[in-house]
Amino acid sequence: MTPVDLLFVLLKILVVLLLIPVVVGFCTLAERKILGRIQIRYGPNRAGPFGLLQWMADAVKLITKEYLVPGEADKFLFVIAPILTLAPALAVFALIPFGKGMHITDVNVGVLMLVAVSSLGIYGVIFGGWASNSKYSLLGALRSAAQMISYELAMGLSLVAVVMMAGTMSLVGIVEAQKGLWFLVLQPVGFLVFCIAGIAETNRLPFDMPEAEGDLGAGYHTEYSAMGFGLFQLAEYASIITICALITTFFLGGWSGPWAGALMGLPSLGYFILKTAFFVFVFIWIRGTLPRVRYDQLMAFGWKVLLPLALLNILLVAGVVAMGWAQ
Amino acid sequence: MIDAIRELVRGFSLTLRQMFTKPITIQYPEERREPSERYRGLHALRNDPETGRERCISCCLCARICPSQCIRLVTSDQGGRKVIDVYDVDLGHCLFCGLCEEVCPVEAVVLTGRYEAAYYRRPETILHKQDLLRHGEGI
Repeated sequence: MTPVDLLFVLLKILVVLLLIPVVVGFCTLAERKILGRIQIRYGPNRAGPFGLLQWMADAVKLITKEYLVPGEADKFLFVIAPILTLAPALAVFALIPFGKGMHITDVNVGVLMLVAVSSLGIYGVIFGGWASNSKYSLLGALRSAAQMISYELAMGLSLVAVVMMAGTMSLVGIVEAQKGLWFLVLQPVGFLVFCIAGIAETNRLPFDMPEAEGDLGAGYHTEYSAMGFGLFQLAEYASIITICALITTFFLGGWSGPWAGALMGLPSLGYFILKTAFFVFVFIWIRGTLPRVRYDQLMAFGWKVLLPLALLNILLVAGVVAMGWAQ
Repeated sequence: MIDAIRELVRGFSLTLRQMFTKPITIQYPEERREPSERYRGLHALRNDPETGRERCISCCLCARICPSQCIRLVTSDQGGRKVIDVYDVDLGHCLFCGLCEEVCPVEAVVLTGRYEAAYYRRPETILHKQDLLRHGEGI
């Protein structure tokens, strides 16, 4: 790798890293706005035109607040936990192809790396809950650990089917493989399993047991204030965007669409953003509609419904691929 | 299973429809809620519209009937006429029952539609005679 190549890669990383907080900011605003409209209110509309600067005000507030560390807390773990949550959430963006030829790296075991890296995020949650030395935080962390491990299985298994059909583990390759027909059409069951597991993985309603403000008082980040809380929040929304981007990549043909390659691939970026934004909207819509499930329901659903469905999906897709119908 | 899916569809379509209805929020400083005709808000002392003089005849019935005793009236005799020197309403005690309004024989003290009763200092929560007269302008 020449120095110029290295510089180019660093530049790409910088652009993505700088853009993510902004996108996350607008994502929180969109969430509050859409939830507001669902509940027949306006949502934030005071800061800037239509409240468009609300996320900036929130960020400034979080940065300028005092960073409190509880006296009984494990100081070291308490401080690094938010960072541990955020880093994997951001690292996943290195693998996602945003447009035709627009990706930071194209790893040939992309799917594997993705599953591995995104699983690391849970350490931050567990450390954060444990280091806080608070009952609620610990309970939230425990629930989070159980939930993420249960749903990671279903998620990984639904990806197995995608990999089988695409014949490659590279995310760029998977997008290329969907040029003809989206995997959404070819394996709707896998799509459903991945979506539901994705919602559980990001701790969103109706699977937000780790936070459950009603019974746990915000769960693992109860004791966090200022930017520690801000980082957890940033990580949560970053992982929502990640999951939506992954749904797009794995099941909706990523950046592909008519004339995707024209104008230096700009339309392809547009398709990708459009598809991802649609799923972010669906996630918010789900949050505004469904009530939180009970903990035993959550576990039962994960192990008794989602996991068998994912296995069935693998079986079906394996059959289809073996018969050569996928082409 | 089928029922569950039907319920899900119903729920999601409901929230989707809600998204396109007009919010019921009143944008407070710009828009205001119109209180109803019989709203019992802040007190006011009315003047006689013809003569412009105070209606109150200092009978002190309002101060006597007030269940929370929040009205303080001090009168003095000036050339055979009773004059009100002090008419204080302690909003911190008032429960806005409207008995003062009901008992007033000359309809001098009334409860208006004013509902903005937030103050920075405690002394401000006591309305004095001039405040009450200002509230009563035009009623």
